[in-house]
Amino acid sequence: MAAGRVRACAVSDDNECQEEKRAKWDNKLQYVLSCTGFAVGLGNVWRFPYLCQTYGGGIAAMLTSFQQGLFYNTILAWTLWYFFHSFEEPLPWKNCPLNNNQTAFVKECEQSTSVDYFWYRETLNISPDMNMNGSGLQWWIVLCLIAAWLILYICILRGIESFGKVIYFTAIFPYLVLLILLVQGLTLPGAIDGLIYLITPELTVLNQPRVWLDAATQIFFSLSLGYGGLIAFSSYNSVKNDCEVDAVTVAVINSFTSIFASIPIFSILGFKATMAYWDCLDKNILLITNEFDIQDGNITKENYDGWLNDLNATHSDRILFLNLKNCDLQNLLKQGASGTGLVFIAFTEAIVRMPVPQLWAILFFFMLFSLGLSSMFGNIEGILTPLLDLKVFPKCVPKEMIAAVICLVSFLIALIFTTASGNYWLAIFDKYASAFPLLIIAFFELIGIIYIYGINRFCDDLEFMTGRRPNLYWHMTWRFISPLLLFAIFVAFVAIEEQHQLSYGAWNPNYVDFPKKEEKEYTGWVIFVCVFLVTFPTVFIPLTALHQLIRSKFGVCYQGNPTIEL
Amino acid sequence: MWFMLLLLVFNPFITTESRATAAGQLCSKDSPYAFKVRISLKTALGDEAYEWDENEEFYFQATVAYGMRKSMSEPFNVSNVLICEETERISFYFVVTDPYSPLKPIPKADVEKAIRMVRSRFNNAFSLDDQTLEFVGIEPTLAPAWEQPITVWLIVFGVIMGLIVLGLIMIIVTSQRDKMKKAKAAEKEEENEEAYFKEADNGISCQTLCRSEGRQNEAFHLDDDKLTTL
Repeated sequence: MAAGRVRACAVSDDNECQEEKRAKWDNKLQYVLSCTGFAVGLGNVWRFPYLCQTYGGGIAAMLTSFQQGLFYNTILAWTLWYFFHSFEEPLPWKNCPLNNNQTAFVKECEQSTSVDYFWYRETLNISPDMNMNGSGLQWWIVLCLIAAWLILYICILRGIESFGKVIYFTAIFPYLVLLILLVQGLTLPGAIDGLIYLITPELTVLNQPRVWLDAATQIFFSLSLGYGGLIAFSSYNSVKNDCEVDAVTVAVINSFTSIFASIPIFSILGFKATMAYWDCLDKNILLITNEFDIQDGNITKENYDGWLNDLNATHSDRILFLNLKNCDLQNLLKQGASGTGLVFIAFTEAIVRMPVPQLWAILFFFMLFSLGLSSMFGNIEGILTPLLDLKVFPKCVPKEMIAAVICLVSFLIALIFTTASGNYWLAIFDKYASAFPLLIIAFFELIGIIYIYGINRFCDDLEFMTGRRPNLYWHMTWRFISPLLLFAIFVAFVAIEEQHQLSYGAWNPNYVDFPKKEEKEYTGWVIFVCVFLVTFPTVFIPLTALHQLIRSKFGVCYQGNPTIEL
Repeated sequence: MWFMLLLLVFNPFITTESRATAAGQLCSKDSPYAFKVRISLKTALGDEAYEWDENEEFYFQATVAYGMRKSMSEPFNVSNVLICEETERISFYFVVTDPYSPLKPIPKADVEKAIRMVRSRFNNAFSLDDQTLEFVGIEPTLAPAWEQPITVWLIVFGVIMGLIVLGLIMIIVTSQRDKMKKAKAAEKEEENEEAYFKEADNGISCQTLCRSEGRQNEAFHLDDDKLTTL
């Protein structure tokens, strides 16, 4: 935007106008793919507001990018862990392991499920409480984390010249896999039920304002706004780039991807629900068959209801004694999950039941990894580009070194997430390190550009770049609708947090209601960390504004004006 | 004497009958020596399920006898395995009797031990598994967890890390080579520039002359005093 124009001419020592050699995209496709890859991330696949972006750039956004990058790559590390294990036969989350004297299955696994056990115990080795750090770092996750950061580093090493190529793969490959999963998913029994569940709107639900809030939140976070990544990418375009078309394109692709991803996800979830339903029915049928010595095979899933009614009429007391479970397919379909629960628990369970499960597991986790990787590119660029532009490091330090430093520092801090309580910390970071600050940043960016910089000046810039002024739609949304919506989302977020009273669900095998999660409250110093994570990036907005104010008041002239305002 | 004869004649009948009734008393639902068996043929085999008839029952008795022989090393026979209370389900009770005294039932613990010993052969004999051939009260021994012969995941991890490190080295090497090439090229340009400067008399380097698209040679413009002496 304005960034490009001002920087075209940086005054150098001998007063000659030198065009600074800024990197450029090889072609437009790379740019669009990068933005798409950044926007299309894990959030589009697992419906969780992990990403968000309007346009960032600037210290606040850079810090938020940094905080986001910390935990986001940990999720990629977990994805890698599952990917490595997808080569095993049988898949390790398929069966419960035996206990020490080989007489029964491990108790924790029996009470929950084998996929739960593999996720909570064998992967995370999760502690029942947030404060127990005694066990130190889990070496297997540390290994995967190293791998994740190294892969990221190697891709961004040369800046957009290198990952401009990588992005071809990491942005397109997920679509291919989603297509394959779609085809496979549709052949599975029960897929249609899942899809019908996806399509049938529950019109009563639309009355709840919470639904609209969730929708708005999802779109906001899904587009990866507020991080600085999109601005960083865009700054590598030529000045006369039609950014209006680009913005619309990326937004449309992002929404399309979310919808497109829902189809295989829901068909596979429908399959999982149907399998659970059949299992439930089979258990009941076995109980009845054994109790009444009916010939094996007489009661089938189809005539189960008829039999149950007949028997209830005649021998209701014995039926009651059997404690039959109530098998309800709709109920099972409603057990949707999102986030890590969807991917590492629900999906892995479904994959185990498919034919050739290793193939689907490998494809799926590889796709997740490349989705996350392309989003991480945006994160890192959101940190790297402001650092380079603000000339924080002296010129002699090569870009590769700076990137290495960023990756190393992030890796060291991210080691927190490899401890036994790492997952709880990740949830905190996800909410307080990214979601909250992003809302604030995006809001202030919008206000800053439209009302402080001035919408007219902004429209002038756009006319310079695209050749036309933005139409009424843009005016309406920029001036009124978007700020209002952002404000509403922020208020709603805060309100919901108050309600939850800052608690988390702990996985405690000794809990009475295990495998349900135990509600625990955050302790004092944890709350302090949450507050810090929110305020640390956002405090730079007023600070920088103050700084600019002081500078202009004292009439400091400078050449090569910095472009980043917030 | 007649009485003795009568006794002699009827004795075998009486003994067989008493044996039969004794056997009937031995094998019953409430007998403390009886095990219940449930067989689910349709669940296990679907359309290929065979018919459960007397021959299959005989096969079952024979297999139990085989198990008892292996376990207790006594000459058990098919007749020592009594089956009763058959239902449509297919379920029945069975009792095992001592081969040396056919009215004496074998305690449950011994029978259980024998069944456990030959459980897999038992399952295979009937093409069933632990769930579809159910001995009520005898829990199936769990198959030991399949230990991977080699930690597969570490191998995959190692492969990927190896690739990454290779890639890193290649990138660093190529970037260094490029830098050295650029440095050499820059040096060469500088050398050429110096050479040009040496050859030019009036200080205008040939490069500037080459770059421009035709320039007036101002030295030949006598009335043009733009070009002052340097």
